[in-house]
Amino acid sequence: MVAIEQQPAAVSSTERGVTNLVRQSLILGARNVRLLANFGSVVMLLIFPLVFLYGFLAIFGTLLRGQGIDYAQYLTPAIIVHWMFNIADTTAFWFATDRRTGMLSRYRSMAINRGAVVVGRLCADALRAAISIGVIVGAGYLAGFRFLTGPVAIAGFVLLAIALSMTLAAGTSALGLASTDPEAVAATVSFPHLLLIMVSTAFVPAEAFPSWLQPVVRNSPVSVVLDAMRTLADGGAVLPVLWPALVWLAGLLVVFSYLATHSFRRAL
Amino acid sequence: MSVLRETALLAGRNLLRFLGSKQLLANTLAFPLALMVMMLVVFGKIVSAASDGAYIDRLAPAIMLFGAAYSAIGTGVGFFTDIRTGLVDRFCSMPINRSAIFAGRVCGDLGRVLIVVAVTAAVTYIPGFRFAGGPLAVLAFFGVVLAFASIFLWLALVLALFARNEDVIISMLNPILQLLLFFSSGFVPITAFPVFLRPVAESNPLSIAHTALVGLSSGGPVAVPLVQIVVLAAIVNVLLAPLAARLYSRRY
Repeated sequence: MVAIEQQPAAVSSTERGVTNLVRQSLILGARNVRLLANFGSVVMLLIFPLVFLYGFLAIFGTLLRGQGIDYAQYLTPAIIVHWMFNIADTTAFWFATDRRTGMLSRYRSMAINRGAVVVGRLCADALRAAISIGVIVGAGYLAGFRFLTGPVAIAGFVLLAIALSMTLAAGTSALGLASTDPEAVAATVSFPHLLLIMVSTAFVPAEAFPSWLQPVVRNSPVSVVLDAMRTLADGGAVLPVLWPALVWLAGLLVVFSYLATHSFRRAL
Repeated sequence: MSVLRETALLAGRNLLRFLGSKQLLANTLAFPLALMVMMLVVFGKIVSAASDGAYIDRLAPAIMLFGAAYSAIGTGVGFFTDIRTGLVDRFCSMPINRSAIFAGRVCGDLGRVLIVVAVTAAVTYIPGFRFAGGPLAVLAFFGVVLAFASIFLWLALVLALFARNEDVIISMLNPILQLLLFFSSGFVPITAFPVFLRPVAESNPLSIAHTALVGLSSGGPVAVPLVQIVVLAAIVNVLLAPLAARLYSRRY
């Protein structure tokens, strides 16, 4: 009898290597993008941002002009940040859906790099972020928003927004991967979302808050990132406002990634 | 059994389901209240400086109206689920009046609106909202809220008859309700709008109901907006109730 030799460590070759990771991520990313072809996602990406932008402009534009603030210029980056949160919220929703429907288990049984599941998700979300930035900036231009800086600053503006979206998505993924109820997760993440957006300089300057709350407002991650984005759009010294934003994002990314990795290991 | 008894029975069933679901209860109550706190903290200073009177007198009725209209999403999704799971078919096979199926859903959900609005009103007492018009005005206040809510409940119900999935109902109603809220007198006085938008904001049903509510709670014009909103609600109820029954028979 000839003993059949067991292959050492049965890891298929398709589970290793950067090329495989990239190719598999693109395939899964494309699948995630195709799932966006539904009424709800289109409204969410193309119509709802306009309702918010023009709605806030209509009710607060005149009042804030009285205080010397060009509200179209002030509000457009804020609506973008709000939408980066919305996109991160749906990341949690999709991960929870994939877990409930058994799609994550299916991925696990396939000979693919597990990182591709995450990278594929992030690719689709980065695309959604880029689309909504385009929509909101376009709508903002109609209302009077202008980039007063050069192409490098504009690229920095867009990248910073996408980086924010990805960082938040890491945080919401930790929740989404830990749950099998997409609706409950969507409701849970919307509370920290609204709190962070509202207690910030997104819609009104810090001076409009009660004085005891102003230090919190000024240093909240949303305000700090928005300060950087507004400077990148309006002009001015970039470095002093950019590094606090990057520190906040990097800090959050470390914490969120740790939590997300933990949930991912348990979910998959 | 008469239509009224059947309606009441089905309405009771819908109300009990709502009271039994803790998550639904929390969501319907939490959203309007969160909105109120945020508007007070974020925009209270700026709007108070631009208008006379306390901001909560303007904001509280707006939050109640939004909570009422927002309940329509629950109505649409709930009725869609009843269609999808075959419950409506089951009711149709029973010897009851068909309109009672639809009226029961709307009446039960109006009961839900009443609970949500009463709780919201109680909470708005903390930041200083007051009913200053006496018991009759309070009754009229809740009457206006219910008349306003009924418009959206019927709309959501008809939408549920057309929708292919829940997602469509939510994604259609959400932007519409948000638009109505933004372009109304609920957050800021009409005079704070750009001139070309003022006619739009003035003719928004939410503004009309809101003017009546502010008048009934803290003083101001009542008669004209009250008549307008009641007439509008009557028209919608008279038109959409039989329409819903006909659409249902044609589609299912």
